[in-house]
Amino acid sequence: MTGAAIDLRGIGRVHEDATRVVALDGIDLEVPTGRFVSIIGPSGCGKSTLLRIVAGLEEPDAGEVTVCGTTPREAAEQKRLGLVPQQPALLPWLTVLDNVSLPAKVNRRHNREPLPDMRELLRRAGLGDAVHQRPAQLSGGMRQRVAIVRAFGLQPDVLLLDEPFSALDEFTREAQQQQLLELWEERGATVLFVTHSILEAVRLSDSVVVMAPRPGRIVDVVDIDLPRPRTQELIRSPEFHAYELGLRERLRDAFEQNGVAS
Amino acid sequence: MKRVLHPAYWAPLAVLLVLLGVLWQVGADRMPYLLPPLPDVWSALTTDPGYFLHNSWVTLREALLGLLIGFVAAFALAILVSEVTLARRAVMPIAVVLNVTPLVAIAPALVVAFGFGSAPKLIITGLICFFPILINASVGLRSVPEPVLQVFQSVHASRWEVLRHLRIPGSLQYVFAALQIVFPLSVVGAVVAELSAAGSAAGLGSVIQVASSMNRLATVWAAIFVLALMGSLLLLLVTVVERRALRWHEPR
Repeated sequence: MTGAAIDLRGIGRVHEDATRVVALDGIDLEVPTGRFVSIIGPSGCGKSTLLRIVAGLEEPDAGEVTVCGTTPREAAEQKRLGLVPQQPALLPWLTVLDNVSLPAKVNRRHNREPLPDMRELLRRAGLGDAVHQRPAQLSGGMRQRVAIVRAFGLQPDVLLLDEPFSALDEFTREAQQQQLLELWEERGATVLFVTHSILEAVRLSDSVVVMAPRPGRIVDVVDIDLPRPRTQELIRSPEFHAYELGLRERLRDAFEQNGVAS
Repeated sequence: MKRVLHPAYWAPLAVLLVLLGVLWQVGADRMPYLLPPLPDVWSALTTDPGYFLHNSWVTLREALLGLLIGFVAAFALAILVSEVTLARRAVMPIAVVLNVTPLVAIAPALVVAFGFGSAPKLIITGLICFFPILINASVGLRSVPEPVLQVFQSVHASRWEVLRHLRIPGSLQYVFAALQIVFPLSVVGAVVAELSAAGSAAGLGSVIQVASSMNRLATVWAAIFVLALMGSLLLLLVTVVERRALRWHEPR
């Protein structure tokens, strides 16, 4: 196994519907173990498709995917993956504790012992009082946190998040980012984080992958050399803003190459 | 409960019932061959309560047993058609045709085939309950949102695990909606079967048939009222069970 937790080589994907849109074309990406990498890009650039391919939910039409040295499906079978979709995707009839414990009850053979104490993990995520509540009783932000705890609960090597905070208001979103970073710094995992927020990408990531649409491709990879933890002071610093502006420009370029007015 | 006891809650219904009762009495007075006077119906019920109790029990047992058979068969088939596309394509058209075929028309054929015992009654009741459960359960089993399925696919949950932990619990609210329809319907199935099996030994359907052939209208109506009560109680039972089972579904 190389140092790369996720290794994509020449990934191509054409949507099977009538449009035959080239969703992804010639994607090469290497995510080293333990890194937090964001994928940013306008709608339709194939960033979610890319995430689904890494998760083994979709097969690429060209190229090779390696996750932890195996195919995505094998990685899923060995429970090396944690997935956080756009909506929290919780089961409404289960309590918070039962929701986060359910992944450990399926495909038991490959549980990675010892599993963390879920109550403790929920408490750490600020959900200690909500353990026995049902999703309908929680706020949107709390639900998304439950989904993140559920993904961390299996001690995954690779955590895949698909715009998990996009439906939240700005204040909630910031608190969620903070908690995600805390959990990640404590538990460690390679993270692939899809977002369309520049601020979010700079704040969270070790490096940011910029994608452009038609066909979906990578136009740039920007390393964010900012110290951690990323405090409020740091977010207000000129260095942080420089990264934000730089990314904004790269994204605008990506648009203009396609002749789309931004 | 308090709300139910408030006059604003029950008064409109009570007034309408009294009004209907008065209309009934007026009608019975003028056209004794169409409607029996209500006191006659009451005395038909009370002079031989054992007779009605026994026949109600027979009908209720047929209804519930038939419902159970129909439920098990329909739910098992719903799992099959929701898991296997080929099975869905083969089974669903037949199920739809079966549903639009009037069961009242099939009943005599089944009586000829299976005699006057309980077999044709259970089959007809089972059949009448079968379709709503099949449709609702197969919709419910496929109602689990795609993101949820993806999360569990990413941890390699087996088909059985997805069925057990996601699909079956997710289908319950659909299944209960079907049960709301099917519990009262099971009584219909049982009575239709009894009516078609002329001369069958017992059941409220037979009571109605025998009494109407002898022009005893009061007894016919007594049996009808008992059936209405039975259906209502069954509906109440499902509603109470549903409230308990699906408590999570209510916001807070």
